[in-house]
Amino acid sequence: MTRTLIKHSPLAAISRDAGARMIDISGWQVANHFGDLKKEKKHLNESSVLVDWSHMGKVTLRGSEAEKEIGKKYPSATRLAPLQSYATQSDAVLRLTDDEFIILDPSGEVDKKEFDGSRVSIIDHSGTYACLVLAGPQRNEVILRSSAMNIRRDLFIPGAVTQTTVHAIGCIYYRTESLDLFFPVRDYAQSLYEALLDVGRGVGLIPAGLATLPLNLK
Amino acid sequence: MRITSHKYFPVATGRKEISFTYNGKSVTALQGDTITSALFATGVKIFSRSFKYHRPRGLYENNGQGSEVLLTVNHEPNVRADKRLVEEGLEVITQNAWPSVDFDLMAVNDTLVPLLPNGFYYKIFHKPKWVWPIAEKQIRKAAGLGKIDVAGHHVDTRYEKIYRFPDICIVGSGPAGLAATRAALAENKQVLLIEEEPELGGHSRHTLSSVEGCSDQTHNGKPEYEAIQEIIDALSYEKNLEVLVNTTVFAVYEDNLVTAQNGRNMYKIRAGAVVVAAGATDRHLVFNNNDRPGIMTARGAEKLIMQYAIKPADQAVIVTSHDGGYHTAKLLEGAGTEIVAILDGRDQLSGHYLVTECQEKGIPIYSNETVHNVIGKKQIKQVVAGDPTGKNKTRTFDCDSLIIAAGFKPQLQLLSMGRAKPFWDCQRNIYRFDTLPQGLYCAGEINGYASFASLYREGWETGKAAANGRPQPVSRRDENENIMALPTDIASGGKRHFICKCMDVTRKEMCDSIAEGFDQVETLKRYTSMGMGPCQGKSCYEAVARLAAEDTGRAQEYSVPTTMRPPYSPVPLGVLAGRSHHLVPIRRTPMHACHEKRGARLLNAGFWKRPYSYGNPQDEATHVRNKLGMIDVSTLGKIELSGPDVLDFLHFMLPGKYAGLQVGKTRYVTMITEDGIFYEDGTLSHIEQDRYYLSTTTGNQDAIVSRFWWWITTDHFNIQLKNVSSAYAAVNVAGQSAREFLQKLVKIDLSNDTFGYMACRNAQIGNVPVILFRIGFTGELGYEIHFPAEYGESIWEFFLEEGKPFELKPFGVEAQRILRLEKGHLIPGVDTDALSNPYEAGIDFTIKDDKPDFLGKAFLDNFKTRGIENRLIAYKLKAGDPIPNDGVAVLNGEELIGRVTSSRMSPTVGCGIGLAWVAKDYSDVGSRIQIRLADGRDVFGDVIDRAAYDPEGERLKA
Repeated sequence: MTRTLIKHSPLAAISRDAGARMIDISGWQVANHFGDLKKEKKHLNESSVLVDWSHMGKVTLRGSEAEKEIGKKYPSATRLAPLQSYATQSDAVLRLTDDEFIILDPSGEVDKKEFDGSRVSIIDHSGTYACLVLAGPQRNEVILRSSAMNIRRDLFIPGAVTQTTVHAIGCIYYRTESLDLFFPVRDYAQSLYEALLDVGRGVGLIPAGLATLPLNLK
Repeated sequence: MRITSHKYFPVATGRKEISFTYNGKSVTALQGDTITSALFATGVKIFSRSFKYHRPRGLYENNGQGSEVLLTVNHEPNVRADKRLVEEGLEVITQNAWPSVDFDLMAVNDTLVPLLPNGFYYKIFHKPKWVWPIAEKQIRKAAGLGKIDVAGHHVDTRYEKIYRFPDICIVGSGPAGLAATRAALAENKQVLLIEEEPELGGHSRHTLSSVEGCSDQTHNGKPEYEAIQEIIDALSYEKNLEVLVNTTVFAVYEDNLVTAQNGRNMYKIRAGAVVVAAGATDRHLVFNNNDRPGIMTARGAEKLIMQYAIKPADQAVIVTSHDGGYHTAKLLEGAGTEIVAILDGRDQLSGHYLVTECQEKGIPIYSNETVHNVIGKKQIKQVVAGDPTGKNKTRTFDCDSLIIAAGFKPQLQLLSMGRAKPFWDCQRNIYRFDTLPQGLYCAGEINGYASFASLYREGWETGKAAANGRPQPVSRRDENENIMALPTDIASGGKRHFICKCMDVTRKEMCDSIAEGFDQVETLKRYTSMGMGPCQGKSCYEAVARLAAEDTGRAQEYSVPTTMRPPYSPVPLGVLAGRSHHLVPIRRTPMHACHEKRGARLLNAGFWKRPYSYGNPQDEATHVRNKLGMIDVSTLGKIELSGPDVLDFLHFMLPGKYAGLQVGKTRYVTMITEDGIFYEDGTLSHIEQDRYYLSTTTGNQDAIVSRFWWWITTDHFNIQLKNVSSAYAAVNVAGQSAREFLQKLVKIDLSNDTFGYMACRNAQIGNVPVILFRIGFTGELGYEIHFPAEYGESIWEFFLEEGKPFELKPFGVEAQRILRLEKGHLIPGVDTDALSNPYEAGIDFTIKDDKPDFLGKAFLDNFKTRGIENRLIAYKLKAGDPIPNDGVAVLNGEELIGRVTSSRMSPTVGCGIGLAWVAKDYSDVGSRIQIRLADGRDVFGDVIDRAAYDPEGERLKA
């Protein structure tokens, strides 16, 4: 019988050490909550929480024909300018540059069949990039203690994407109406996670799990 | 000396009591007190001793700027105690005095040091030569303020860096700052308002005068302290406003970068425009003994009364040159102070209602008089008065306090910061600016004293201009708002006319320095150190500039202050440095938690944390040779290359030929820079048709990917490059039972015939897709297994579990280094450097220079023509010889002929082994090299033919 091995988020170990109750979702082991769900929800509503969504599916398309290829599955995404995003009911497309897109799929499995035979570089980065999500009314204050980037909401509007440095760690940064999502390479994920929690202590940031903030890009 | 009521304003009551200690004694303060206000209320008059002369110093400006109140608080030296709010349990001690500030033996300096010339330490103690080292030690011991916390009480202190991006940043919250805030908000701008004090309002909080003629008429007729509170209350509903109190802006740089300190936090503010409404402080008046405890500025005294409910004095003399001095008198009188006299430097008194009030109360007022001298050492006892020229003394008053209200000097520092020079305004009698860099604005008393209404109007206009990107509005003042300037120094005799109180510089010293040739204000500053103390010239800049002009025969209008530079006020280095914890990010492999769980000792490899060993590296190396070991090699660079031009690209980027590399085969490759230097090695595997997989070392992966992308872009190779370094984890399983172990886990045949040395295949372990490489750096039968990183932990633990029958154990980087050295394998960057060419490094077998062109070819041709000068050789020591350190010299007698790059004890061979660069003449196999140990002894090694272990590679290929 084939042994089934599970996937670990780059934050699984640190979450376990912090007392998280882990659950398996789509073959991934991720934190469900950290023991006090009520407290996590309170922080989500009143201050801020940091949640691990690393198990989200992430596929990059890179190459001169990337726009053409992305159009096969997401016709509207071809109209995106670099650093803009397009969200559907189930997933989202971020345009990083003229010739690079990233598809986010909360189901964890991006269907790549439609790109078969294409001449663009298609990589499933689900395991390469972590996804750290900041939510709650104080999330801006956490970011302003973590990055020199101007995140004023009238300038870096919901739907905007950028590639920036947070705590000296390069990452893709995607903003929605209520969330700030950071995608560092998984090797740096724990470092970024610890740094955000560290600076966020002063504004009530705590780690939370999927029970508090289920993966949903809408 | 607390007051519970005041004649002219309601005193706040019900403040909570707070306890702290002062020089070990318990003190009770009230909430909202600063350390100095709390101590002053209990009767403390001397807070410090001066820097040089150790003269007693007391509360003076009471605004967090002066050096008189530098105290050590909770082991932190030089805290500005008139700014620091009291907290329960604070430990406050005085500094720079022995045995105490009340009785300081070092006060002998006050008698001795003035006998010495300026800069005496530069001029004497140099002959005979032996004197200076002794004198220097003693001078250094005596100099300086406070003691650094060498015990490390603050090593765990947190410092934050916080960013803000407002449209308008407004510094100062007096009437002008608040009006500018309202104006900018009215233009729908996001505003950041910064105030150094705990509460907004500026000096208007301490002003009883009625507001008249304000454009916002709702405030007219009300006392300023009420009007300002109304404005503050109205702002509390503004959504586009952020207010930072207790925050000191310490610099304003180009492009409107504002830096501010709030406790342990440093704000970096990038604003669309900056409005500086920092206000003004009382003018510094120079006269004999002008530093004695009991002398206080008018605003300092007013703040004590209205903010802290403290009576500043029992009997006070007020010296003034404007109607504001009478306001101070009214406040003091209302607090219960006896006003002994008001000395008004003006020829004629004004008809201002406050003057009339004082006259009606019978307070003695003397026009055309000022202070000449004060008498009293630890507390003033008498004030000697006379005419403003200092020539004629008129009378003496018994009192315990002298309040100075001689006009105001603007807080120019933030506007200046080296970007503009202020000028002397002959009407307003102040230094100010008329032009400012784009995006920088100023409003309020920084442009000269004015009424509440004028300040409000100017603030409003400036706020509007800043919000709309218009030029700085022209500042206007009414005639009656100009304040006369008394002579900066009342030349009435005596030698203790302090210009710079921070650095204890007197008028006499200034004159002496000018006589010595330092007749420019900037050189004067450097020679005498005026303006270089803790207040950074905020107290004395005007006096220094005016007196320097006077003493060098320049007209007042040509006088200039010294250049004002950041920081505006002392900033702890920790605040500037910010957090250090996260400045260096840590890179962890997918199996990092597994290594920690097994107690691995970790080492830094760039940003990576890698297991150095799990116990004893020598034992780990032996275990690999005898049993089975596994190492985490996830840090290797991993690049997938495919596409029509992939072979052309590889032939261009790498020095070898790869057309013959069949699918399923792997080859050792090297990489050469454009100038022919060998900088990297790895393996190239032909995974599928036209799909190659390149693995690189840990350190160079990012540079290689960048280099590849650069050439792909510039030479238009039609290939796809996937950097999968972080997407894949990797382990290397090495040992004679490696095949047997791995065969259990995969379905493909791993026998030597079908999967021999340097083969590669896709396979599956459990549900995980993997790529298997039959390669090994350790010299044992080994396999490198690459797989998706998210399975890192699972695969690692799975292997350890399944490997139990084979005694599989993890080994660390140090064991790997020993094992590779036994095989004579080099590591680029460790055994090579920026001058190493591949021929000398002995890896010329990877170079196929009969190719038409590739990176570095021209230089390689040059190297080949030049011939070998040095060689990287392997050597072996005798059993029992000490092991040299990496990097030690290789000698021939005393002639340097090379260096050791890697050196270890080999548990397998039983002696020291290593790699070394040596001159060609000493590089032949069998030659003997002389290695100089760090302790000066020599050991001798024999040059061997690369591998000290299994030179034929039989175990590797088994």
